[in-house]
Amino acid sequence: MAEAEADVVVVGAGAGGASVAYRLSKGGARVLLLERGDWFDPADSPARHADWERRPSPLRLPYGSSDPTIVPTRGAAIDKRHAAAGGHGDATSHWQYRNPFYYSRAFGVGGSTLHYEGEAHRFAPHAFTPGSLYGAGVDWPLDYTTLAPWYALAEQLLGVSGEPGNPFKAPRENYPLPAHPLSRRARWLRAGSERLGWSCLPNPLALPSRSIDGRSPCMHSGHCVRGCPFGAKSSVDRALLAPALRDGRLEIRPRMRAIRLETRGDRITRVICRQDGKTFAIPAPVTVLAGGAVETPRLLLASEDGAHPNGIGNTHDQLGRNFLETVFLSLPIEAEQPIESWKGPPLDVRIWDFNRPDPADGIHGFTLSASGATSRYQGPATVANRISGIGRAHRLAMRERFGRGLSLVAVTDHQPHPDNRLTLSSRLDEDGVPKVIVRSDYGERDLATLSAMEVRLRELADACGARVTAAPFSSYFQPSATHVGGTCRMGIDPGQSVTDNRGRVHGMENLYIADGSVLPGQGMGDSPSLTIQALGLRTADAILGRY
Amino acid sequence: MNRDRRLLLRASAAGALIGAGEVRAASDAASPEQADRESALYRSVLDTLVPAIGDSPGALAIGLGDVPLTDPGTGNPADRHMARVVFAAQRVAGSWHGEPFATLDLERREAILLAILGPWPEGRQRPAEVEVAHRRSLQFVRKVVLDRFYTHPEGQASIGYHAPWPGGYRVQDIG
Ligand SMILES: Cc1cc2nc3c(=O)[nH]c(=O)nc-3n(C[C@H](O)[C@H](O)[C@H](O)COP(=O)(O)OP(=O)(O)OC[C@H]3O[C@@H](n4cnc5c(N)ncnc54)[C@H](O)[C@@H]3O)c2cc1C
Ligand code: SF4
Repeated sequence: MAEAEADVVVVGAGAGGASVAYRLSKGGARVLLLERGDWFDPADSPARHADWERRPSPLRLPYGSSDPTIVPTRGAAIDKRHAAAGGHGDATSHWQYRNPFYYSRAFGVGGSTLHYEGEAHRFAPHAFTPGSLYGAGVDWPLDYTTLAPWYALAEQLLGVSGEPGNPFKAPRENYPLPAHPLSRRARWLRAGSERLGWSCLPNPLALPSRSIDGRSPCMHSGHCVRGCPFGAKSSVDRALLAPALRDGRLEIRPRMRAIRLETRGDRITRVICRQDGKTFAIPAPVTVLAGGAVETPRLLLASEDGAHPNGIGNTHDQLGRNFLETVFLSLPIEAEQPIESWKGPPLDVRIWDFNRPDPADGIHGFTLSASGATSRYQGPATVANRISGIGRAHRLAMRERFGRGLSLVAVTDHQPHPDNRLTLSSRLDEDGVPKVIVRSDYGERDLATLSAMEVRLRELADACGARVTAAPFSSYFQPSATHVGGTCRMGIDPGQSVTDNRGRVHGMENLYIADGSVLPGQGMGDSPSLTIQALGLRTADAILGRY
Repeated sequence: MNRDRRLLLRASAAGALIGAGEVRAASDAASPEQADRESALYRSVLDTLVPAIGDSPGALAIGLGDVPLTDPGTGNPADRHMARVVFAAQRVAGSWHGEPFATLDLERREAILLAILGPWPEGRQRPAEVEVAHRRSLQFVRKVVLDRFYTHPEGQASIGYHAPWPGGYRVQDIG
């Protein structure tokens, strides 16, 4: 396909970009999809090898490594009052500032779904109107019922496996595929939560329980974050892009990075890109940005020109503001008996009892789950090195203790605040694009919710008969984000948002955004990818209807 | 065994002082008996760190005695550290039992390596040459050997873990 023939140029092949590209090309549009990363081959997953713990991930920036796009800066001052109230161990004594922001994501065809764990959540109806219901956050410019058909479509395309009947969610039809049988870890957690009168329910997962489209079903390896070694996981490269490519209207350019947008008045005219050291200009009748909640506002800010002196789509100084990071707390525990904590889909159950907030108590909605699928617990060599001693005693201890360690995890929304924002740095990356500075702090409600989550996690650990093995790990001290959003949020009022409710950038004729940056909120502890995908499919339908 | 490793081990087995990373010259020419003794000493350290238990193989059975030991994470060779460990183990074995380390039973060998790892057991004499550097070297060797053992399919099988997919529950594809 020649460049000039594309009807739509999509930037970024992650959760949002792949959904738009799929739907547009299936609907008859000629789509050029640019992706700065490369294809991922399941054969490259470290999990194919017994010594996976010692192999570098082909997907992921190692924790603590320098980020290619974010300038590390000291975080906000720690609020000692709340840290103490939250009981965050002895952290209160030596933490003065939040650590620099760490953002875990993947660059590649499939984006961060290459290493996501497949949780495929529809946000509950109340999560679309937190402003009017709880006076916290903002209402979305669309409600659950409006989005529901696209949720259903996204689930169908991904082969989501689940069980209907979650009383904390809107009533729904059956999932496309049946839920996975629960792992031993999940059954153990459910028994504990039932002692507390809480419901621990099967998690809807984009890890197909049966073969779809000729792919292997999920083999319960627990290795999702390393890239599925079987190609089973419904990351969007396999679930959406591979089938779309068969129709011949979609072209994917891996390793091609958009570095700037050119405009004429309220129209994008060309996307300027870099690939293999060369610069290209791509005519763009319609452009959809889907680089994620950091890269998309960065590209728009960096594309400032005479007509858009503060960046494209930034007439009202909203671009990059209201940044949402992942607010979570994890509690390391050890079960009384081996529960094969490493086995099975990484997050096969979740507890939604606290997802709907009480309007009176100032605490936001959150959810609870348990993860044994980090190398800290899942990796035999890592566990062996953390058990002291040598010889027979060490071997017996390994037999006894391996498979008992895991983290209880609680997640909530980050409350939007205009001062939590991304701005451009004066430092440039290797393509001459300014890097970004992330400023992000927690407000009273975030901190109160963190404390409430810790209380619930400790109750759960007790009810499971587990021993707490270390102080909780809180994103307040170490920002460590997997779910980000808000920086180009959708809304009705252009003075408070960047796009409309179909993803079109306010004031721009032919520019859309379809990624996590449009999310005004995060579902009160749910995971965002299904919502990003549903919104992306809806944006594609809006484009198809308009042109 | 490669030449450097042989030299290091020979030096330490012969009692050369390798406390600060110095290796005194040792002849490369060894009698077959001497080579056997060195190899037995080296292997006995590995066997003490990860012994076989019941039917389950230990470090030697999965071949760790036959390959150069390197840290799988960094690729750093462990030879110099191993030489220090061998030296310290020999010294303590001589001091406590008047016998070479390799000829002791597993229980005694374990007690010696545990003592070097610290804390030193009360009422036991510490040979003057055995110092902090030896403890650090043993910590390094321990890490390398545990890493090697538990990233090996047989080591993993011994704890019921089966890579690359850890024997998840059964899935029947009926779709
Ligand atoms: C470890 C981990 C586990 C997770 N687990 C879950 C889960 O179980 N469930 C869930 O719902 N969510 C999960 N998430 C979050 C989820 O993966 C993300 O929210 C989602 O993928 C974000 O979608 P996106 O389209 O905004 O961005 P991404 O999926 O990150 O895609 C952005 C893509 O754009 C490309 N790109 C960026 N800039 C440019 C440019 N200038 N030119 C060309 N290409 C560009 C990037 O390389 C990337 O491929 C997880 C995330 C992580 C890190
Ligand atoms: S748990 Fe399932 S989807 Fe995840 S990596 Fe393993 S086989 Fe793939």
